[in-house]
Amino acid sequence: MYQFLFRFRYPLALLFILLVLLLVLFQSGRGNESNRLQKIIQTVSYPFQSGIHYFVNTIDGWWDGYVMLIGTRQENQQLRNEVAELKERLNQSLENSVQYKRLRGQLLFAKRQPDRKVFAEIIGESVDNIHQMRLVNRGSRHGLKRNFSAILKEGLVGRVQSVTPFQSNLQLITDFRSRVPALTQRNRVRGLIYGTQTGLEMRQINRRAEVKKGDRVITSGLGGLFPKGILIGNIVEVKRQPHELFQTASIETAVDLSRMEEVFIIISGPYPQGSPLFTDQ
Amino acid sequence: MSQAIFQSVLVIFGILFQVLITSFIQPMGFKLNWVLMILIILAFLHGNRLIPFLAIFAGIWCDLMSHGMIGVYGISFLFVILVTQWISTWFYSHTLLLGMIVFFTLSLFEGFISLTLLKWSEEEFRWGWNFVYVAFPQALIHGIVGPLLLKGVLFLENFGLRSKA
Repeated sequence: MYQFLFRFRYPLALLFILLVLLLVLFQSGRGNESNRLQKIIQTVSYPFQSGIHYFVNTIDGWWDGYVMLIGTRQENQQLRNEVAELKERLNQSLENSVQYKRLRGQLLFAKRQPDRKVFAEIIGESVDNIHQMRLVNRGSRHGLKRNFSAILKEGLVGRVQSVTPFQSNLQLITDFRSRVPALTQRNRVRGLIYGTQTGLEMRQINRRAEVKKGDRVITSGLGGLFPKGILIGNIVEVKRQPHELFQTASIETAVDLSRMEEVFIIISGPYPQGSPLFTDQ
Repeated sequence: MSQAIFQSVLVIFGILFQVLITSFIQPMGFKLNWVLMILIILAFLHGNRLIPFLAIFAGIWCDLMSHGMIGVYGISFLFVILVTQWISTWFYSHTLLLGMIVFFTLSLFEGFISLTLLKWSEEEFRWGWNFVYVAFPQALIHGIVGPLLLKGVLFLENFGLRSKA
């Protein structure tokens, strides 16, 4: 008997295991609750299982947290560089888009107007807080002369005060020395626009004339310094004093002078036939 | 580097800074007069005869770059520098507070002269408004920035003239 068992120990062992497995399977199929054998097995195996689980997790965490992170710093830096580069590109793209829209609008305006114009970029401003001046990158070499008008599609900007071969000084209409003959577009009431450093005032308006808030004010062309019909701004307040001969109106400039980056200078002198309408050298 | 060359270079640097950079650095919306502050520092530290000429030169340059009326800043800078050289003999040392008071007072004095000259040239010019809302706050900021600039100039002077000393 012993010899028989010894001889067939492997098949018998396998058979025994098979029977146990069948028994377990049979017992577990009876109901949803864990049977006693299962409980015993789970209870016995729990410390080993949890120990192995902890060990594997620790190794796995160490592997992922340290070994796999070799080179991550460089990768992180590379990604940061890429993000910065993409942000810069996005910013550049937005800037190009804004600039394109602005310049396109100005270019269409320049083509619509019959006067010959020189496009100039603003490259500086007055060095003090009192004068409202701008330095532009066009001068006598580009056809500019003193007293030429500076405009944008939104309206009047100022006049050329002094010219050098390659750059010129523009006096803005808000400069305290600036005077622009003007009239209201609605009912042609005349006045004189004074620069007040912080804004504009239309003075010497006939006290009987009817001017009101919102009226558009344009250049009258008197004096020949500025072409007629260029928008200067809108009336925002009218001041009438009973003892004064004239009324005064505060004007909001049509052009945002603090934010402009380029201007058109109207070449008002005689120029050769067939010369381009729009000059940008 | 001799002192005269150093002073000339510093004033020219101040003018270029004034023309090119000032519009980008505007504390509380005010453009600072860096040239004036540099001239005051040089006049306060040294009583040589070159500085009034540098003041006129710098003033004319600023005139050309701001309004084209040559003489306004040329005259006002000259007066301020002469006064600075005169009062600098009263002090044998300077403290931070004294520096602030000197810069504030002299800047206000410069504002007074230049605004008066502008008023003479243009009847409609609002002298009082500009003195209160432009010259006064600018002088206050000069009073704060000036002593710091003084330290910077002293450092540069020590650095630039060390080999000579």
